[in-house]
Amino acid sequence: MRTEDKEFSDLVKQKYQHGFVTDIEQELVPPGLDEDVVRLISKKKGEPLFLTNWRLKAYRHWLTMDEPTWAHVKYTPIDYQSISYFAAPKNLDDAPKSLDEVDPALLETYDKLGIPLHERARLAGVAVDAVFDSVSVATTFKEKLGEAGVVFCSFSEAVKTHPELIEKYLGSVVPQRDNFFAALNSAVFSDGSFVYIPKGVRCPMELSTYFRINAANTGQFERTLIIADEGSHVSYLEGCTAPMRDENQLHAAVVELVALEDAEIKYSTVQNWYPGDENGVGGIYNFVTKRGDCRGANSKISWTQVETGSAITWKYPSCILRGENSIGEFYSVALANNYQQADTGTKMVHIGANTRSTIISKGISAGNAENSYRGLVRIMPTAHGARNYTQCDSLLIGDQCGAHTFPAVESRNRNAQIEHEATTSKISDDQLFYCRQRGLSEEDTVNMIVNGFCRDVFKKLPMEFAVEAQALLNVSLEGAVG
Amino acid sequence: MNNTNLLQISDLHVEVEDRIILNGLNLDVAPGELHAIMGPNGSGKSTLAQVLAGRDKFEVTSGSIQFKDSDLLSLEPEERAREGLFLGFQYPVEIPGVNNAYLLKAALNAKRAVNGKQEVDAFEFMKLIKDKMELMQIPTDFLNRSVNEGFSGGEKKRNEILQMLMLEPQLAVLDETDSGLDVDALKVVATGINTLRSPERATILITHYQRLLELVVPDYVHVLYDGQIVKSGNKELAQTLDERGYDWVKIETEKK
Amino acid sequence: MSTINLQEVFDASLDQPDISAASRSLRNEAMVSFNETGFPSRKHENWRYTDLKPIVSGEFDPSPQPINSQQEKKASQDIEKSILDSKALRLVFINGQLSTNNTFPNELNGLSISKKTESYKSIDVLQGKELFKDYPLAALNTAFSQRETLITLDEGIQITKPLHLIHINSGTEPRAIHPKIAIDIGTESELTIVQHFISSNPEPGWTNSVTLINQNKGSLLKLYRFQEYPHEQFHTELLKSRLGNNAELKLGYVDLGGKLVRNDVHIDLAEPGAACSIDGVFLAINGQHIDNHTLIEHSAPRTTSQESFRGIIGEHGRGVFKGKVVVHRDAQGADAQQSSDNLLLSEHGEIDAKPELEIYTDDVKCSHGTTVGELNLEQLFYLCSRGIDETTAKGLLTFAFANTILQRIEVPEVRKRAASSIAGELPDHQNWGGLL
Repeated sequence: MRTEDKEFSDLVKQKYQHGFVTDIEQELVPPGLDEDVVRLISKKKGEPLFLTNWRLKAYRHWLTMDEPTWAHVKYTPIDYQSISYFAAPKNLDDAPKSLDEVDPALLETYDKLGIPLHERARLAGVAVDAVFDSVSVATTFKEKLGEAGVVFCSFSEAVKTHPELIEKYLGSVVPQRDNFFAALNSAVFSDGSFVYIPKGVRCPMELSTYFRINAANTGQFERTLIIADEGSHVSYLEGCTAPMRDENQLHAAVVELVALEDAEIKYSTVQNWYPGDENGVGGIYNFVTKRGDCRGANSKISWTQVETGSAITWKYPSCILRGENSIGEFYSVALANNYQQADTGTKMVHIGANTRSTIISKGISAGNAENSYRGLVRIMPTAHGARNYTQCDSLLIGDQCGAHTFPAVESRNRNAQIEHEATTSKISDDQLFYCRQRGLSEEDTVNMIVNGFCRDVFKKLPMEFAVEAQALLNVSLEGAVG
Repeated sequence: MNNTNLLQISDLHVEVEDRIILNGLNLDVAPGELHAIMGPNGSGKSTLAQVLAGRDKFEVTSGSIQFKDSDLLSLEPEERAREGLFLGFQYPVEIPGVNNAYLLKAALNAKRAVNGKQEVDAFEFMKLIKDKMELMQIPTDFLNRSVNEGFSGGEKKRNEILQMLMLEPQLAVLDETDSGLDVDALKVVATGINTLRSPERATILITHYQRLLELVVPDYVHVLYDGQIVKSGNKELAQTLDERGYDWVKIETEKK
Repeated sequence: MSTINLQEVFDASLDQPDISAASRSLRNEAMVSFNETGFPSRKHENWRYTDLKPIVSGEFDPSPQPINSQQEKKASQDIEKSILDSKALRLVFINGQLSTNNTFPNELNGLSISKKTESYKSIDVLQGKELFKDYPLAALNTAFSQRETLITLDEGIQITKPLHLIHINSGTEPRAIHPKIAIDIGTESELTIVQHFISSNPEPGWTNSVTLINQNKGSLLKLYRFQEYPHEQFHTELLKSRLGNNAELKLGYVDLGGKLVRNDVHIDLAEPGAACSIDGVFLAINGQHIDNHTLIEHSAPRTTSQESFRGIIGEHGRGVFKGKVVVHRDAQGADAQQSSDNLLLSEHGEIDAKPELEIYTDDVKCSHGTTVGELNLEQLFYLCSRGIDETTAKGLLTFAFANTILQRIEVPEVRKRAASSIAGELPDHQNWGGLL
């Protein structure tokens, strides 16, 4: 028995900070899923016929699909008939015209979460489209964005105001049939965010959305669509939290990004859904499909994620590098503690000539957690001069956790250069002792080394997110180290 | 107990994996003094340094160590460091991703917090470290590099001395800080050590060779052999050892 | 054309008096398992990049046929041509059957060769339901293997002279042969084996080999698997090995020929201090498909593994590599290093690589690296700047790429033959002077 391990486990146990339930009247569709529910969701949202049919097509295909089993995660089967597929705050009918009209209990919720919605939003210059369960209830800075021609609104609103863009782009990156969870989302998605950046526009501020799962027994199925037209630029931030509950909750989102010629999309996520307690009870099942399509030449899509929450994470933000000289990036920190299971990574599909991709993945496993990197780099015969560099490192804290790396490289072009490196290590006794000899506590040393380990990813995050991510990592590590 | 001593080691016995390394070692160090500990390979020099700093893989089976007013053995490594004990490592470890400036600032502030002083900010930190880096001939870009990662042997040792200069310990234990240094680097390191010598502070130099002791003149020289100090003297003893090796000390000891 | 009914051939092959009860029961179990699984399909994760269709539809006849003297003579001539070391200890298998034309005495210095008829514990724990399920082709091998050859080396014996096992697929019609070798190395003993697969068949043939190895405490086995078929042959194999305390296995894989080759290696570092290394080189040109799948399990403390594969992929060639390393919970202090480097030299080549790490304890040092690309342009420029023409320089660099691995082969005859065969495929090798 190593004494250091023992001391680790004695460190203070820190509880999930965002665990509280907001008491707002909910309008719930009863649990269960069939074509009528799909129609009902579409009807409640007043959607045009093409969308209702699109949903139904997805639903019918979903019925023919099996839940995937290839990920390195174990969980009790999900009963899709016990989930309620729609929840909206009831007083939405008379929708708030401004923040003052928003239910104070809701604002308080955001306040507790530390979301920069009201005062802080202004100070930080962040426009927030807050998604409360499924329906977007408050959007700020719309005017300023409007001047630049940027459309940033809830998905439902975009269906009404920009149906032509929805019809053109929805499902063009992640088709309804893409995978089991994407098909489910396509059938029942409730709301999400929509962004359109017109030609040549550099979005004047970072766009930010906070997702939060609130109602019990509701799945959350957002659908996000971001279109960056030729020569435009946007940075989008997404943060996620959910209240503490004993039962598991499903979250199956779909995010589609389209970057046209010379456009750039930077998508950053800090995911802190409730991970379950220290015995692995409760927590979010996070099955998410995120994909970006570098459709135009010289376009760029960059995914940065910090994943510290969820009982199960199943998520592979990917890039289709279609346009010549397009660039895909994936920077990830995934931390799994206690009984969390993370299976996350990326796909980079090189189609265009001189496309480049970079993958930096940092996985941290502690407690009894399982953390896997899964990746695919595919070079098509057309991708002359394609380049990929992948670095994936795992850090193990304690001897009861697992750290796994499952990369695949498929190259069909002789001009392509692919490099993949992976390492696995632990914080060595020598490193711990060295820092303690310089007067640092064991806990500070672990935090410092873990943050150092993640540095290459953190520096890709927008400043205010980087600070939050770092703090989040420290909080998530506490208690179960050892 | 002699209260004028900064460090008092009495009858120290240390084992590792059932092997006896230190076997009744005694040593008193008063403020202002510089003690050199020499001895052949495997005599227990590095073990002594590691035990003083609190490395837990060594088991202290009996004896005591008094440091200032504290029972040193009851303190955690970080508590010892904050109390003013510094170990210059023989093999400084690499910590990828953590930069030098961060570690040093965190260490400095940890110590200042214990002494009820305010934390230094980045600006003050730079002010404090600038001259010291010049003294140790360390370029400024070094602060942004990861701790010891990709450093040459000489750079690692100079970095250890730089940390010592920043932390201003009351007792510095330098474990083979001279090994692997060329003549110029040795001079830099010696200057660093001499800079910190003062009536309040003490230094224990663990070394193999006499060459550092020509630049950093010791008050006492001890020979460690088979886990005990078997001979003590002044700087001449170091010269004698350099000329005659350790064999005569061994023979003398075994006769006893 | 009649489709071969495997079950019927199997039943007929068992209908012989000299088959022992033990072997009958094992073969039955294997056949039942194969009937359940069938040939692995591309839906299976481990077969994603390799399609066995050409083998399944190849009508390869696995029925045992006695070798007549004419065949023996023909095979002997072929063997003579490809022999690596005429003075080596040698065992020759023609179509899976031990030929009389071998120079090995049945017993030498504690090394013995026999036909395995009864159960043999340390080998039989390696095979059975689980193996048959994980490796359907190994089940097929066991079901149809005519002769399981047992090679045992007593305790404390070091044999420096390599033992050559030569397998030849010979004949006129498309044959499936299923060689099966079991090796048990005694405590503190050392042995070097060269497993040499050849064929002179202009017609397609399929060799499906299984090698089972048990290594006792402190033993050392060096095994070089050298395959130089013509390009029409199909080859699949499994090598499964279990290592005891501080035992060491050094494996070398050289694949130069074959149309479709799939090598599976499964090593269990079962006891403390066990170590293995796998070094592989392959050439996939002219439509060849070469697939190496390795699984190394670190099951005990302080076990180490080192693996490097290098592939040269030319015109319409395809290379596949999957290297999985599992470090189990009890394997503290494990050290696993793996690399897969590939040269893709043709417009129409493909390489698929999956290096995987599965780690369940924290006290480990593991790394893997994969590279895919063309020749290093700086090196090319350097050679050209020294007056070497570009074609020669490219050939030289390609050769050097493979030679790094070949250098680790400790049997000079294998090393030299492999080096000259690879060089032979490269342009202007005749200008290299004394390099080879």
